[in-house]
Amino acid sequence: MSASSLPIAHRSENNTSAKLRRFVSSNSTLLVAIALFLFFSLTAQPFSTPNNVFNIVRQMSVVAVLAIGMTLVILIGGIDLSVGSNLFLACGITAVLLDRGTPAVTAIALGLLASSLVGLLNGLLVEIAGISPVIATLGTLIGVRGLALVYMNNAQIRVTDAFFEWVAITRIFPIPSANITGFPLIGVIVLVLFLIFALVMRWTIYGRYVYAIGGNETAARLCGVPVKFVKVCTYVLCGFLAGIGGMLMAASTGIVSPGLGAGSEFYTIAAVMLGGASLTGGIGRVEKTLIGAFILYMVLNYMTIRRIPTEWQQAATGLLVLVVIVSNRFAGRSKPS
Amino acid sequence: MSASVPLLEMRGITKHFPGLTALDQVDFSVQAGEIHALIGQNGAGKSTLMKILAGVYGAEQGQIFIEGSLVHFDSPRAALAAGIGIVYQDLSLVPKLSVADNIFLGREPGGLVIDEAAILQRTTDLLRQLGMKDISTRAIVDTLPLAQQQLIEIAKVLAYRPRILVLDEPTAALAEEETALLLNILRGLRQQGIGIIYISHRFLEILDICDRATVLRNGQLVTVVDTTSITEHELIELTIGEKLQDFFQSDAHSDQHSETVLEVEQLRVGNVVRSASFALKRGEIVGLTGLLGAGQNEVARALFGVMPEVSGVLKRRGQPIFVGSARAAIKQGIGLLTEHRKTEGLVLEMSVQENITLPSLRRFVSAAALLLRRNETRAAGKIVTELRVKAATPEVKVETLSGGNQQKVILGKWLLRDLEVLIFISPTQGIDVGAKAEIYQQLRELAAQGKTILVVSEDHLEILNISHRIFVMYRGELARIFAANAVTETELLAAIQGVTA
Amino acid sequence: MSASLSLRRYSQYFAEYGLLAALVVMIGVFTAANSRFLTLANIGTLLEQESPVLIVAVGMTFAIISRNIDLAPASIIALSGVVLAFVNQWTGSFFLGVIAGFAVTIAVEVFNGLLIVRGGINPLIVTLACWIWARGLAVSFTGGNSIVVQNNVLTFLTAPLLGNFSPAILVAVLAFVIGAFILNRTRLGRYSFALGSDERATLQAGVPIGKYKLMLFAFFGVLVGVAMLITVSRLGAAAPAAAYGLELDAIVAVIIGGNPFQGGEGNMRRTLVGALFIAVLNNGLGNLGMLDAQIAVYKGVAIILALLFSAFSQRLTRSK
Repeated sequence: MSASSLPIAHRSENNTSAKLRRFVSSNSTLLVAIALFLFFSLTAQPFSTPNNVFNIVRQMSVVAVLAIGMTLVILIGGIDLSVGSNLFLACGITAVLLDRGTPAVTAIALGLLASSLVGLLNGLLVEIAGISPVIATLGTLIGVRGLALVYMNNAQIRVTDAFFEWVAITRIFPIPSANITGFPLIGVIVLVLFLIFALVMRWTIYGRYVYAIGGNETAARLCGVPVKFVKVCTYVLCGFLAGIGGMLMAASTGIVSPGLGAGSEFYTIAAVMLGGASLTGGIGRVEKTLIGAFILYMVLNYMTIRRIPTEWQQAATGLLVLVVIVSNRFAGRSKPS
Repeated sequence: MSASVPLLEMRGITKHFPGLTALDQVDFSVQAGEIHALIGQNGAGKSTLMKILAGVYGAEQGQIFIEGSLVHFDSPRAALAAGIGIVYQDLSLVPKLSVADNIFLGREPGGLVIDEAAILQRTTDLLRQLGMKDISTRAIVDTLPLAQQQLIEIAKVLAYRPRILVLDEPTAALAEEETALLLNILRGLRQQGIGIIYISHRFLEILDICDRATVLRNGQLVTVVDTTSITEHELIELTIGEKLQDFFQSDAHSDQHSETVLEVEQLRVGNVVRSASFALKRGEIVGLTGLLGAGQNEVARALFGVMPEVSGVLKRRGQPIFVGSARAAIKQGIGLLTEHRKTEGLVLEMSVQENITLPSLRRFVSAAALLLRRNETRAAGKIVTELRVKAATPEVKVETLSGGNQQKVILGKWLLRDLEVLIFISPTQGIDVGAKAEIYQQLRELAAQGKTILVVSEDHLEILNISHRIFVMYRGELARIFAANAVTETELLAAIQGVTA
Repeated sequence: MSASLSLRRYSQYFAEYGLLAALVVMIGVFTAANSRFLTLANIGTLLEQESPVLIVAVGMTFAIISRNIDLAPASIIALSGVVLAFVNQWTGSFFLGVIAGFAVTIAVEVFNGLLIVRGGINPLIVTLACWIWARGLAVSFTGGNSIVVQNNVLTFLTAPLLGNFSPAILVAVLAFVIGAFILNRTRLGRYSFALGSDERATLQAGVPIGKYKLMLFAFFGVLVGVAMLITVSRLGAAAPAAAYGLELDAIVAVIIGGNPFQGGEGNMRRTLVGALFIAVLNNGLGNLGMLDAQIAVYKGVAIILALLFSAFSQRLTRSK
């Protein structure tokens, strides 16, 4: 199985020199991605064609956006299991409003507002009521999906708005002569979001506070960092990004039906884990999460190309996450302190 | 049992740590039915000696005899099996289990089914035997006061029926009543022929209960004395030694400070601090000391807003202020540095620079809400140079630094924040001698620059060395205030011991 | 002093029996809305429907008390059910199928336990990965289709025996009795509390914690196996989508019953009340002719309220 090549790749490069080892361990996510890409390109012809790469980008877009918010929440030592439901709520509300003829701007704004409010609720439940994040967001996972279904009257709703269609269809730099479809606009949106959040994490007080809280909450509090406020804000941001994920989902599927986005929280967490973030908080980078999401969807795409039935893909995802986490764990352990 | 063969005898014990002789040819012996005090200052070698006895460390030289036969402990388990029970200072109880379940954890009687009745019965017997009748065997440990937890910890060790019992500062967390109870328990155990090693800084207790005392100083045996024929002042002098008189040549002058920065009136913290009123002045270093558990730590944490159940009035330059959180304290110009560098002081995964600027980040924000990282680097770099932090660059992770340099980073972050009052709790704990001197020097410089500094420490030499004024806490009350250039070491120690002159 | 003491005691009662009161009120509401709700026939249906949740909740109580949250049971139910069905098909022996099914539940749980104990990986991650891969394998083996399993013993499990009461209900009751026994009377139970409260102190007391953690996972594996049998029996088939979301119901049952998520304390009675609460909610809302979506809203709101309730009542009892 393809995933088993990961730890071996790690080990063979480990015994050269300390410098190389440091390079490998700090860039392991990227190296794994490159190695997998090369391996997949060599073993499956159509894998590295531009159109297929664009395909991977399009397929990963929703989970990648959710994974930005999840990275932030995991950085502060929390977790948000409700992103799949929250995504569904946002695109459900927007779809219903569009269906009633509401202008796209208003519909999108209200969808995003709703998902941000769910994020706020999560934040308040965790930080103010003191409920464990797993449990609290499990509650909202159940309730929010139901709320969305009730609002949608349990029906499928088509999204026929011109703006959404434009977002879904538009490709950048298509070369029709070479039969190259072009980079999907959705992919550009995802990249821009990652760029923004990579900058936010590195260049704003908020980003610094998030790392401080995740690294040592007590020390951060004793430094005067407004810990609770920053944490609640992080849950709100995660909800907001789930909403954006919902918009992308509505655009790319063109139809909002019950069950949309269910289980995506697990793929999202998988992407964050593949990106090397630590569940205990303080360790992880938004840009590495992007690579993690790319790895995940490369593997899924490769399996599709190799005609591995879609049913196996879920099993493979779970095992992939396990293999990477176990190998990270042991790579971390053998590292000289 | 004949008195000629001691229950425990340690002969010629020697142990080195890198750069330090912890124990040098130390002899130590305990008779059956004796309470034997082990005294000396911090770093004298008491803990190391006991850890060798417990099988935690191996000694490089020396032998241990129990009832005259040579023994060798390569693990704590082996020491326990040989009948050596140790009550450490930090508790090792499982908080959510009951008293009885804790005492028998890991060795519950019964087969497949735990014999709960036996556990309760044996615990009841044990507690009654120890005179702790008012502790319920079914009570959940973390609902009990700390003092009772301490007693349960002792009961847990006694359930192993040790022949030799070691207690490391057992009364630090206990109030007078509970201390009396504990001492009574120990008297009972003495009658049963158990040999008790009693480590304590409280000389009054030692004179009260111990038969003999072994005094260690700088890893060497000073003397073994009979406690019936010695006074408290003599004990104090024995632990200090003579040549230490000239150690503290404090250049401190307390008269030059007049401007009051912080005033504390009738401070109470839970039932640990019962009464403390004092004023801190601009440019002075105040040492706050006392026996372990006398309340000095709580006073310091209360000033920083991180203690529950605080009452009293706090004034900054005459204005009453309310400090309910660390954030509020910092806004009032108060900073705290604790001995828990890794858990309370630093974010280990972050760089030196990021740690230094964390409390003052707002200063480095541009109009576009972005961090001015170049300014940040410059400011942090200045602090790093000023404090002589030994780090390759300010970008390295703070976890790679030594303890002394980590302490400087913590200091650096408050310096950058430009606070008026700096509170240090045990600033040199776990820091090597060289770095210690450097930190003392920095404290003096800070005071000279007009900062107000409060140093909390149980190390009286440290306090004498750096303070202008010295506050002594005794059992939750601010008992004495000295000017540092008008107090002798013996006087200070007597005050710490609660001896009224 | 005495006033605050009585307030504390009052809030303790409130925390301990509040959910029970809420359960009674809820049953009253459902009865008022639907006269058939409180009939023996419906109670039998309700209990049988929810017996897999009840059984998994027993294991989940141990998992949460010992601080080893487990998200995987529902996926393991699906996977082991599929294995049972296949072995049953190939060998023609239902008995061998059951053995294989139980082998899978225990082996997967112990595998997770090993990753947690030996690998030092966070239980949430280990069981999250298992949540994905075990369900994925179940879907993969079957291509997404259900496999019919016919056997008299299996049918008997959920056949009406007394009125509308089937043996599955008895099994669930047994699971609670045995669970309570193990939790309160054996070392495994005692060490679950100790592990959840302070792992370091437990280790210091000389408890071989790795061994007992693995035993906990194996025990959970057995319970998951039993829940799997009932699930297969109720469907008459092994479905790869079986028991979807069951782990959430089980976790919620444990927590809203009043067992703190931080572990170290708790009991089976609380789990039972919590599980019955979830069971009544599922059944009662369903009987009102609601859509799944509406059920989910009410369920979500009820769960969040119950969580807030237990969080605040715990805070009340703790403040001195």
